[in-house]
Amino acid sequence: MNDPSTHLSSEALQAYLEGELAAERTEKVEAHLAGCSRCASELDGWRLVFSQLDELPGLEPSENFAERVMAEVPTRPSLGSRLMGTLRTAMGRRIRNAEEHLGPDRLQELLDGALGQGDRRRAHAHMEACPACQSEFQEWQTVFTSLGSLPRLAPSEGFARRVMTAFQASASPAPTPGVLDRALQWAGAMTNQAGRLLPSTPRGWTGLGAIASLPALGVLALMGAVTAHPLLTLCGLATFLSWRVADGFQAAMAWGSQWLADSAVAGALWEAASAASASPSMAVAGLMALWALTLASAWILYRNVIAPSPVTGRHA
Amino acid sequence: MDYAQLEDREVVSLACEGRQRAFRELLTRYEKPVFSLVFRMVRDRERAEDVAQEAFVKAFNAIDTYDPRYKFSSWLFKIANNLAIDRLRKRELDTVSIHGAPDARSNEDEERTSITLPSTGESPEEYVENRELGGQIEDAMGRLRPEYRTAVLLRHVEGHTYDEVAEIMDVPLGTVKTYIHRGRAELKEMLAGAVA
Repeated sequence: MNDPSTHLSSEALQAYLEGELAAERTEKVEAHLAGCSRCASELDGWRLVFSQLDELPGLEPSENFAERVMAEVPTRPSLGSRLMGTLRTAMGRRIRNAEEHLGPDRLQELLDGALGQGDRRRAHAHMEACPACQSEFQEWQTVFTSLGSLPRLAPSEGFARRVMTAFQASASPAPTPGVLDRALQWAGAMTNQAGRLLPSTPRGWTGLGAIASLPALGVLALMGAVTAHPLLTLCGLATFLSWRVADGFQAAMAWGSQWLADSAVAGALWEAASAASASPSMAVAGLMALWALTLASAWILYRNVIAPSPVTGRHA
Repeated sequence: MDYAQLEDREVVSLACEGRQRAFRELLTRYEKPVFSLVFRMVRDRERAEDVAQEAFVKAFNAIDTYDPRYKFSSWLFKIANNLAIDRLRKRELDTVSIHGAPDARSNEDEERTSITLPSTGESPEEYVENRELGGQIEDAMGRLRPEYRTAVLLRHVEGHTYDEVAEIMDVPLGTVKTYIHRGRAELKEMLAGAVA
C-alpha cells in the first residue's frame, strides 16, 4: 500500500471518504496518501464531488403531484375477484403441471425417497391431475415391490465349513522369525510392559520421582558424612581423584607402548619407514603413489556423490 | 466374548490378530448376502458357491489390507462382485441387453452401442425352470446386463445407498444412478411384457 507505484483505486478513495473502510485499511490508506501526491490530489477531487453532492438541494414536485400519482394507482380488487384470480392461477398451474409429465427418472426418484419434500409434494400434486403419470407410477410401484420381495438365498449346507477349510489351506504359514526379529519383538514386548508400569497421573510421577531420587539422596548424605571429618576436605578428595586418573592414564599408555612393541604389523611398518628414510627415491615414489591414490579416490567420490551422471533409461 | 454382539470393524480387528472365531463370525454374517449376489449374477448354484467361497478366502487372506475407513461389507461385496463379473466374462454368460451404453445420448448411439452376445449359460427358459431363480422378477433380473443387475441387487436386496453401490462397483455416483434407473426401466418393460 505504501508503494507509490500501486496507487489507490477510486473505489478505495470513495470508501475512505465514506468511512466504510476497516480501521487497519484506513491506516494503510492514510499512510499511502501521506507519501503519494497523486493519490492525495485525486482524493481532493473526490472530496469536491462529495461536497457538491451533499450540497445538492432537495427539489419539490409541482402542485397536485400526489393526487396525480394516486389517480394512477389501481384500486384493490374485491375479495371475490381476488379469489377468482387465485383459482385461475391454481388451475393454470395444474394445467401446466399436467402438460409436463414426471418421466421415469422422476418417478423412480419419488419411489426411491430421493426427492425433497417440495418436489415430492409437487409430484403427488401433478399425479392427482395426470392419470397417465398416475398409471405409470403404479407400474413403477410394481417393479419396486417385486424387487423388494427378492429374498436372500442361502448357500448349500456345509458352505461355511468348506470356506474355512479352503481358507486354512490357502493361508501361508508364518515365516519363522530370525534372531533379530525375535529380539525386536522381545524389546517391543518389554517396552509395552514397562509402559504399563509407568504412572499416568502427575501424583504418580511425583511418587516415582521421589523413589528414584532416594539413592542419590543416600549418596549425598554419605558424602556429607565423609567430608564432615576434619582431616578429609573436598579439596583433598579432588586431589586424590586426580591422582587416580593420572595413574590410570599412565597405565594405559604403558600398555599401548608394550602392545606396539610386540605387534608384528607395527614392526613391519617401522621397518618400511626406516627403509624409506634410508632411500630418498623410494620415499618420493611412495609419496607419489599415495598422492595418486588420493586423487583417484577424490575423483571417484566427485563423480558418484557430488556430480552423479544423469540416469538414462526407464524405471521398471 | 460374544462375537455376535461386536461391530464389523471389531470383528475384523480380531480377525487381523488371526482369531478363527472372528473369521467364522464374518462368514456367518455375510455368507447369505454374498452368496445371494453371486448366485443372481452367475445364475448357477454350483458356480455361485465356488465364486462366493473364492471371495471369502480372498478377503480373509487379505484382511490385513482392509481399510477400516470403508464398510467391511462394501469391501467384501466388491471382491465378490469382481470375481462374479470375471467369471461371467470368462464363460460368456448371459449378457443380453436392451439398452446401449449408459452414456449414450441419442437413440442412434444407444442402438450402435447395444450388444447382444451369445449366451452359453442357461437360456431364459432354463431360468424359469430353475426353482430358486424362478418367477417373473428373477427371470427378468437374469436378462439384465451384469452391471445393471449388480447395481439393482445391491440397492434393492442389500439395501445399500447409492454412494455405497458406487464404492462397491468402483464407478462414479452418476453412473450408478444410470445403471439403477436403466436396470429398473428394463425390468419394468420385461414385467409389463410378461403380463401382456
